[in-house]
Amino acid sequence: MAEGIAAAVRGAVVRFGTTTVLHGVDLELRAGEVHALVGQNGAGKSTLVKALMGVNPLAEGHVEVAGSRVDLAGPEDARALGLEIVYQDQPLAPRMTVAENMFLGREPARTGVLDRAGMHRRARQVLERVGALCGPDDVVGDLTPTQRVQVSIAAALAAEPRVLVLDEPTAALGAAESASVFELIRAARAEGVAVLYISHRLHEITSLADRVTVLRDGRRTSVAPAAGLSTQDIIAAMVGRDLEALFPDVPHTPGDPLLEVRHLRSGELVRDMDLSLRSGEIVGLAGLVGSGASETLLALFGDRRSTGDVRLGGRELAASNPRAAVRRGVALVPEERRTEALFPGLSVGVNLTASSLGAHARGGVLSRRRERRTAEDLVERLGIVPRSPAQDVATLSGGNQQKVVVGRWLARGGQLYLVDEPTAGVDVAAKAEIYRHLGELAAGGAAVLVVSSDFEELIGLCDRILVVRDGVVVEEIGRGEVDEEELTARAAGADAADGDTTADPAAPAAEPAPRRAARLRQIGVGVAMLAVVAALVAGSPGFLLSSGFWDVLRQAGTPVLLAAALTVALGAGAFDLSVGAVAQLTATLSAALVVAGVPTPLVLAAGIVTGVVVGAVNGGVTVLLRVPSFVATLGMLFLLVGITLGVNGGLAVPAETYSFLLLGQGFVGPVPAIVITAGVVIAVVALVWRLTPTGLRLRATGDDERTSRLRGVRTGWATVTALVLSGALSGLAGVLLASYAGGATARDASLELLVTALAAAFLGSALTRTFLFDPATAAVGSLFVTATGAGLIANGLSDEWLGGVQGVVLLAAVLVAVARRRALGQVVIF
Amino acid sequence: MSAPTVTRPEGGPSGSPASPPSRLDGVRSYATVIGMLVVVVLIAVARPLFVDPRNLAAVAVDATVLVVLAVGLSVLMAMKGLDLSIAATADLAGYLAARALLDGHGTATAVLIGLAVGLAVGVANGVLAGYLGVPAIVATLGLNLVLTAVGLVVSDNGTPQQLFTAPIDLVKPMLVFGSDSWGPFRLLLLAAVVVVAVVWFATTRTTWGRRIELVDAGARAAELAGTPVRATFASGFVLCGLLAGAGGLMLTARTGLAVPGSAQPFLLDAFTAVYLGATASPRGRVSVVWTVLGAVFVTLLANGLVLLGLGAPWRYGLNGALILLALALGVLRRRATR
Repeated sequence: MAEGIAAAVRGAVVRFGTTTVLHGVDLELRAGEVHALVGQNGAGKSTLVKALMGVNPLAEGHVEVAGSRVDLAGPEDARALGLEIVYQDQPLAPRMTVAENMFLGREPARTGVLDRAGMHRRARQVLERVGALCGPDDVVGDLTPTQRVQVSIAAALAAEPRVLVLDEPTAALGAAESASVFELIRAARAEGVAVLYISHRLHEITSLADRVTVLRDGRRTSVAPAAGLSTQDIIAAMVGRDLEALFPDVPHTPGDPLLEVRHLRSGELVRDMDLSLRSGEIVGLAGLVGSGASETLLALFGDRRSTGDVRLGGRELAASNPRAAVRRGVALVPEERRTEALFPGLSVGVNLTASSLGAHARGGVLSRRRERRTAEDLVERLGIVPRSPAQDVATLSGGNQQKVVVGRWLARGGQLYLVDEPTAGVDVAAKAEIYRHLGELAAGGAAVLVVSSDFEELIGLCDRILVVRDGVVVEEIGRGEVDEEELTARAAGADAADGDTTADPAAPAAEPAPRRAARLRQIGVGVAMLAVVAALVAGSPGFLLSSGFWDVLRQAGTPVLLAAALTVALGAGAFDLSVGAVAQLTATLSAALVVAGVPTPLVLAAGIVTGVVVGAVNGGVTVLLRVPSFVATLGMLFLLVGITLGVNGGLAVPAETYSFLLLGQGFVGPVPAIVITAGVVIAVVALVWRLTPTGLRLRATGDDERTSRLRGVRTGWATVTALVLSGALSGLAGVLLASYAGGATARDASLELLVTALAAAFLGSALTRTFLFDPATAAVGSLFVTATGAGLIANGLSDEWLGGVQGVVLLAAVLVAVARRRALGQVVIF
Repeated sequence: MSAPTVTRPEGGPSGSPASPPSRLDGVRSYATVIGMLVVVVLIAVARPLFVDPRNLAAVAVDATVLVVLAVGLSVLMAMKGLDLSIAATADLAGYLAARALLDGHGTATAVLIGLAVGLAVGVANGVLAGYLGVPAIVATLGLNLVLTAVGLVVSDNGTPQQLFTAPIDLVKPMLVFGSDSWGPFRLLLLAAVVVVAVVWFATTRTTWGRRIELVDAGARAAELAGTPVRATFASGFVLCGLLAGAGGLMLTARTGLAVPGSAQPFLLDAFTAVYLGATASPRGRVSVVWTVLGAVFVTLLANGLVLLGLGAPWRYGLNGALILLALALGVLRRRATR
């Protein structure tokens, strides 16, 4: 074993289903060395890295760390051995703070309590070392792309790793920001860290790396010291085939101007785009990730809000949504084929006619004959394999899927094609065919605008290439004027870095605007709640002032606990619909037990244990069967309602034992016992939620499950823990309810209890900075809902309206929480 | 009921299945159907009266309200929507219609009022979930409570409206609809068949039905393909609400009585019907025809439980367990195919 090898992958074979992605690749990482990994899209770089990090299981081969063979069952094992990775898309939990993100998965704790001061201090140190322009308490969702990269790297360095893997960390950064990242990497190398560096920017590699491994089609084609390598050598090893054959020459001649774009702005990334296309022309937008090239396509297609002057065929194209753009003959082949373009599970034929339903129907009734003709034509014309239009599109290869997406627009017929990453994940043969189809589109008089991170593709395919940097077209290049390396350099702005004149780059954000808006909203919701209560007090002072005060608090005992229960589940990303039913059941059970003469402490314990069992079943079903928690708990809700009915036989169960009634009706001095119980429980839950590693992991799982998993959090356990805790709290709430009411009612109130808790949970989340669910603020929300109900009744509203008021409060609270995003209200049902 | 015909919601141009179902798919589908049959046979053995033609005819009529509600729900659930307010909607629609009848406003007005309630609820749910982004489950749960409260208030805390004690000229058409037959067929049954046929045609043969499939398969992809995603999603709630209103009218007509809360059990039954139907269907998807089968089974089961002398707790408990079982079986399929 050679000296100083920090980690190695030997003979790695990775298969996805029947496809082999890596064919026996070796990789050695030495301490104090920067090792570059390069290759084209789909060469297997990410797969190899994920194998090293224990994310992708190896079919053959193994991983070595510090000379000894290890078995990595998951990312947490890799992290424990000192392997750290910064992923390309920087997965960070968006609604949590920088410090929390940095320590997620290895939280410093003293006697079970998070060492928050230590986290804060350490985070500040590392952030300073990285030169980051943000603080430990900033919320990640508010950061700029540059800051996110810095935080990701800082998080990795905070672990003082043996091996640091960087997967295209500079992809979203400009030259100036990249320089600071390079300094970091050199500093880490000097400290003896083995760095694995993945990048498409070849000039970065030649200047930064000590050794270079090149992958092609899942095999290692070369490994050599960087010192002797030119970028030409690297490209030769990466590409290794004849470019001419890949780009079939389809003659097409540019005609009249078709698309004129002036001063297009959209979001932060598209700052001021000017471009024009002729019909019969293929134009490429060359930009790095974050340059705004992809976003320009989405803005033109009406999928992003934008301003500026866009004319298509001389007429204004004010596409406010994709539907409007499609009507004008604009077509989009999106970047993410699987999620943005395909309809998996549906047939090739359905996928092909999805954008031209009107042409395949009469009076809204589909014509199977017309659909079949179109589908068969397109399958034939595009050479889609297999040739049956009835095949499920998800079973096709990447190349054939992409042909289907192109074919969908051919079925409709358009004049402007916006094509994003046309050949990502497409094999070489299919690439050539797709290029030919794009050429034929242009030959047929359409204009094609292509965005690709594969610059070789742009050079081979396009009549003109527009270089995009910082959301602006900085330069135009004709066919054959540059090679891939030169284009990469221009897109990165390496040569023009000092002459950069575009608007202030990443102005150091003082007090970020989102934070101020969040404060205003938090205060606004709070003030609105106080105003409602004040108005009710003005109408009928007695209900909240003097003796009424304790009454309202007593009444709130059960709802507050249920709100906390639901919040814990929601906050961990699980929807527990059964909280009300659990409370109803334990109320009935405890009343029945009291009648049977069981002593009060045992009754209390039985209620809590029942809740725990129900929660464990909920968690088990959710995690083991991998079903959405809301369905599992919906089934449980009905089951519990049935069991409750079985226990009480449809009759109310009175419970009159003195010691039991003390729980809900007793007093300690002037303070009702139930208020003390609820207060203590809420305080404990809130502290666990905010101040312990477990709480942090539950919150992180709820915020971003994938990120948490990549950081080594066992998210399945988090879900089970949350549901068990939620069940226990609901069980306790039910016991207190029975004591408070002197028994259990016959009427099933599961849904009312659930809705009250939901309203409280969402109100509570609107009180937090980032709409996180929090037991303490949910308790505040619950107090408000209870006080409102009591106040309205004191003001003469009849009881019958009470449920309705809760429903309205719930809807209002949720609207505050979702108003900004306005996603579709879909629910995962299976 | 006629034997269930296997339909392919999207048929594919050639009318054959989009992909050959895996072996496990078939096992699951058969297992579910066979399981249902076994339950029916067991009840029949224990209580021969269960399969008496007269009892079965009564079950068929019993099932009509559930079929109409469940079919509406299935259209919505076919695109990952959800409506927890159908029972409350049905209650309110049936109640207000009954009151309109008793106040002498005539049958047409009463029916229109019932349908208008359903339409209004559907539009409200559709706007909340489709356009404002409130998760369907939360929006419809909130509206459920609001509707329940409204029902209690308008009925003066649950006072029933009795059609059969009213002057016959006021309520005759409604009661005729609820209890009379056309030839050998009860009118309620015919109404349910018409509803099922129309919704089946709309979901399998029209552009609207196709858009629902697209929204289900990928809302984002549908948006970028130019589909009016929000409108399609909202339209599911509108249909669901309308059918809930219609179901409420049918329930009132059948029982000759409108009491707030009387439709509540149908909420759970409708969910069970949709889930069981989807699990039993060869492709494991929510579809109209299989939902009808699920609804018929749920009604049979409830009837059997009554004959066996088992009360409401069993009905709730079994329905909850059936949903969990359907999930477990559905998951077998998912693991097998991914």
